[in-house]
Parts: sequence; structure tokens; C-alpha cells
Amino acid sequence: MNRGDKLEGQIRAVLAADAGTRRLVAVRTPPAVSARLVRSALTLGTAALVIVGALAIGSSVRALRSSPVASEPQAATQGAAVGVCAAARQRVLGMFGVITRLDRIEVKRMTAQDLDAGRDPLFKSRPATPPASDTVLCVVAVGGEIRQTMGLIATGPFSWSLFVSTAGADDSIISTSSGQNGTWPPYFDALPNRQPNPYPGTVVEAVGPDIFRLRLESAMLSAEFGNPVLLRANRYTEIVPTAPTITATGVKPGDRVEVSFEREGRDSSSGAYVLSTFRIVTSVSLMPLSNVVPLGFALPVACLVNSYVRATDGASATWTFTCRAGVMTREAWREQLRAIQLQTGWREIESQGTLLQFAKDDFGLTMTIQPEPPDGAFAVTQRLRLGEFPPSAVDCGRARVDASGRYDQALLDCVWSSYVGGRAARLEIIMTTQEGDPIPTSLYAVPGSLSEVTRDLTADRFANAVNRIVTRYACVTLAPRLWATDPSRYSFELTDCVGGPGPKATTSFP
Amino acid sequence: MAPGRDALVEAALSGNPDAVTKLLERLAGELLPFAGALTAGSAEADVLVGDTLSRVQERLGQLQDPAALSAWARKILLRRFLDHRRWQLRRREVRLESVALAGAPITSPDLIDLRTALTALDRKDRALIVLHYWRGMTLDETAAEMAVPVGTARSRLARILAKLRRTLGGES
Repeated sequence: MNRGDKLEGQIRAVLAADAGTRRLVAVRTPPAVSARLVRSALTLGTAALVIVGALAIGSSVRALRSSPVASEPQAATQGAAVGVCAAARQRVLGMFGVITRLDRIEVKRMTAQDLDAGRDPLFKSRPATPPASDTVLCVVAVGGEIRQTMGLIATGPFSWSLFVSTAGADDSIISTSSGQNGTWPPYFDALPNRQPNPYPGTVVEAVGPDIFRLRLESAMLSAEFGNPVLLRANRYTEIVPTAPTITATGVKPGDRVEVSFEREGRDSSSGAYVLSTFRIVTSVSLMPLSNVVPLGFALPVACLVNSYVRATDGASATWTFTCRAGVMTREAWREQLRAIQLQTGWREIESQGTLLQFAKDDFGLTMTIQPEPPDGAFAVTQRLRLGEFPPSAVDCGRARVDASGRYDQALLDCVWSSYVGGRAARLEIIMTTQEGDPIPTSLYAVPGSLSEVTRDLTADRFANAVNRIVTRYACVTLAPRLWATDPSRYSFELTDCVGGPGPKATTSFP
Repeated sequence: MAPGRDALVEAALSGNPDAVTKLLERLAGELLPFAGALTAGSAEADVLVGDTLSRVQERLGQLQDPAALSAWARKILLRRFLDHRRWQLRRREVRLESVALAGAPITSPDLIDLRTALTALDRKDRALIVLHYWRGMTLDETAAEMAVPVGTARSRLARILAKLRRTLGGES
């Protein structure tokens, strides 16, 4: 091959590699905005709008009352908020004709006094009937493109808006502020986000799958809300342990629980207060949670860390983890999970709809992330399977410790050179007890990921029965440590470990 | 339906919104490798394809020959790549998400150097190289695609190859 041919061949190879560098995940097409605009304009046009705001330099302030909104959110931002103020957020998401592009949405719970004190004076506006200072509000901030429609007059577009409603009440937005300065309400991040206080009580009876009576422990609360008080969960209620309904948690009369709800939040049909959270504190009748670990409102990274902890305990090959997306959209939660997975070296196998599948080839793991239940949009389940070590890794062999407690140091050299060279390696060394029973100890050294040490103590005939188990540690760092008695030799020290029969920050190999 | 007619394109042209979405997804799959070759696999590929699909969606109703859809979309993408500053002012309606695949596909030092040299080419030169070597177009076709005379394309290619050889330390 002459030089010209060679260069041209190389150019083709480089371009082919570049062309295959990216893989399509999704195409986001705009919603069919026109139909929604028409529907929303009709809805808003017939509502009784009261404008109490005023134009300011570079911004505009509007307030309105009783603005019913479309019932379903845009598909791209659907679902995922749980707990107090989730309904308010969801209502804002459904304002198709008003929010024509959504870049970011967040919600906070605070008192009217908090909002009044924290809001920039430039944007201060009050609804026709200002709420009392201790009224609990849900404040939803939106960044994107917001077109406030006042009857037939369209204003904006604005780059951010703040929608304020009474926490728990589900019928109105009491004020709206909008601006064109920047992409986000300039004072929103400094506003407090107050979580509701949990009220302890004892379950009296279940009236339905999601409705029950509770005897509150506080006499003052009982006087205000009733004794017992009728409570109801809805799709936004955080239920711990995770379950689709209150009765599905296995809660029984006499169980002690903690609940939170809003004074203004009553179900119109039953008169029950709508729960923001429901948590079983003590119960002898909890559902069996075998291999299921509810992690509450864990952030994606916390969910993954917890799943690693549980998955490496050596007791089971498959674990299911249930994390909740909290106030994030399910889509945002899913994307963060995916980003974390890709950053930490997982290979994406599948990305269909909400289902995500990854593989960690050098660690022999697969993970499936799938929202559950299908219509609840809150829970994410991960399954990790500990598999065989892949043939792509360096096999540094298998050795037995001799009578003097020594083993072939070259095997550790093999592991270490592979590890620092960026390749996974495995080594098994069979230790022996004083009685001569074998203790196979294996190391999977995986650069850039968790390295794993497994000890099989099941053949130790003289150990206590509860100690005859397989322990497994998954550790972040691996480093050689010289022997104090013989600096020419070393073993490995692994730190930042999880797993094993109990908490242990470090372990060693062999 | 006549042989060779594309049912999805026909459905999209008739205004079926699901068909439009599916068609855009299919086009995205076709265009992403081309955009990757043009942009050296950078995230700009997503922007380019998103821009192109926005334009396709906007003008779909004006498409005269459904069979020419892919070529038309590719030309739009090429125009956007060549004149990227002008198109940056447009707001994209269609957004694309893709992921950079893990692992370095090029590991040979020679190819790494060549890739660096190709990345340093200006956009017109890079486009010419991609059309000719990656798309496999003849110089005549490449010149037509880029709307330049064949002689210009030929002399430009010779100049690029000479420059690459100099950069890589080979004979000039």
C-alpha cells in the first residue's frame, strides 16, 4: 500500500470511529401547542381574573385568582412530585397555554410571612384577599417561556414565573409573579422550604384502602382536627414503607404512625384531611420486606449508594431497591440516574421509555432501573445481579498459602500491575485455618469501580455456625501495604468498603 | 401503494402527528452518524441534528419528492454545519439526546494524531473530507453537494492531504 492509500485508509478509519461515537437516546419533539393554547385560552377567558399587579422596568407582575388549569401535564415533565405541594406543582405543569416552554420547575412550602419577607420588593404583589401571615403556601417557580393570558390580551413572554397557592387547597392559584430578567426568579432560591411537622398518633381503624381514622397524641391537635381524625392518602402522599395504598403497608389498628397534612387540605367528598406523609413508626405487623429496601426520597446518587451497600452483602444475588423521586420529575430523576451510571463506567444496554438497563462488564453486574408502579410514577426499582467474572479480566490465578503463611508474591504483582494499567484482575488465595480447613479468599480488583473481596468461611468446621458464611466487601480503593515483618512483601489494603456481615470501613487481601 | 414508496413518509406528509414523530426519530438515527463524522463525535452533533429536524418538521409539507427526504435532510445538516454561526440564532423546536459511547475507539498513536489533525481543519475542509471519504462520494458528487466547482473540490482535497501529511510528519 502506498502512502496516499494508507493516509486515506486512516482517514476513513478515524471518520468511521467519530461517526459511531454517539448513540441516539431520544428525540424530543415539541408538544402540539396550538390545540392546547386554544383550550387554555377558552378556559382562562371564562374565569374571573383579577389583575392586581403592576408593570415594572424589565419585568411585569401579575396576580390572579381562581385560575382553573388544564388537568394533565405535558408528557415531558409528567409526574414524580410526591408529598406536600406536589398537587400545586402538578397544576402548574398543566398550564399548557401559559407555560409554552418549561426549562425548570421547583416547588417550596412556606408561610405567607416567609414569602412576604423573602420576595424582592420589585415583585411584591398581593392577591385581592391576602392570606393570613401563618397560612401555609406552596410556591412553584418556573423557568422557561411563560405567556400570561388575560382574557383576549396576551402578555409576555416571560422567562420566569412564580405561582402561589394555599398548601393543601386544590382549587386555586392565589397570585402569580413573572419577569423577563434572567431565567429564574431572582429571589426564589433564598426562600425557605419548610417541611411539615409529623404528628404522631395511633391507628384506630381502616375505612378504605387509603382512608383511615387516627387518634392524634397531641390534645391540642385533637381539639382542632377531631379525635379521631379522618385521614386520606392520595397519589401525592409519601407512604413509608413504600406501598401503593395505606392498607398495603400492612398497618393495623393500634400501630403507631406519624402523619402530616395541611389545615386547608380536605377531601371534598369524604371530609378527610389529605395526607402529605404517612409513616409507620412501630408495628408488629409490617409487610415482609425481604430483599426490598425502601429508601424514601433518596436522591439518585443516594439511592445508588444504598443499593450498592445492600447488593454486596453476599446474602442474595438479586436485590430490589425502591427509591422515590421526591420533588424531582421522574424524567429528571431518571436522567440523573443515567448520568451517574455512565459517569461511573456502566455501559448502557437499553433505554426504552422509562426502562434503563446497564452492565458493568468488569464487575459482572447488570442493573435494571424501572419505575414502579407503572401508573404511580414515583418508585424506581433496581435489580443488581452478581454474575460471573468476565473473561476480559486478567486471571492472576489461584494459590494456596503454605505452612509458613506465605504465598506467591508474583500473583499479587500480577493483580497490581493490571490494576494500575486500567484492567480488572482476579486472584484467589486459599488460606487455611489452624485446623487445616480451607478459607478461599478471592479478590476482584476493578480500577475505576468497586473492588471486591470475598471470603468463604463455610468450610471452617470449628467456627460458630453463625460465622460459617460467605462475606463480601466492595471497596472504593485498593493499595498495596508492605508487611511490617518483611518489607519485601506486601498485601492489599482496601478502604471505603461496604458489605460484609457488619459495618466495616476497611479490609485486606489475602 | 407504489413499490418503493415509504409509508412512514407518506403518513407524515398526510399530517399524522405520530408518523411525524417516528419519521423524525428515524431521520435522527440516519443523521447522527453523519453529524458525528462532521463534528468529530462532539456534542455539537446533537445540536446539528436537532436543528436539522426542526427545519425538516417546519418544511415537511413542502417536500415534493418523498424519496428525497433523507438527502434533503442531509443537505440541511451540511448547510448548518458549514454556516453554524448563522443558524445558532434559530431556536430549536426539536431537541436531541444522545450519549457518547464509552471507550476510546481509536487507540493507535498514528490515528490519534490524525484525528487531532482532522479536528483542526476548518469546517469546509472537514465537510469535504467527510463527504468524500466517509460518505464515499466521488469528487463530482462532493463538489455538487457543497455547491463548489469540481476543480475547486479537487484542488482543496489535494491541499488538505498535503497539509495532513506535513502535520503528521510524512512526505509533502
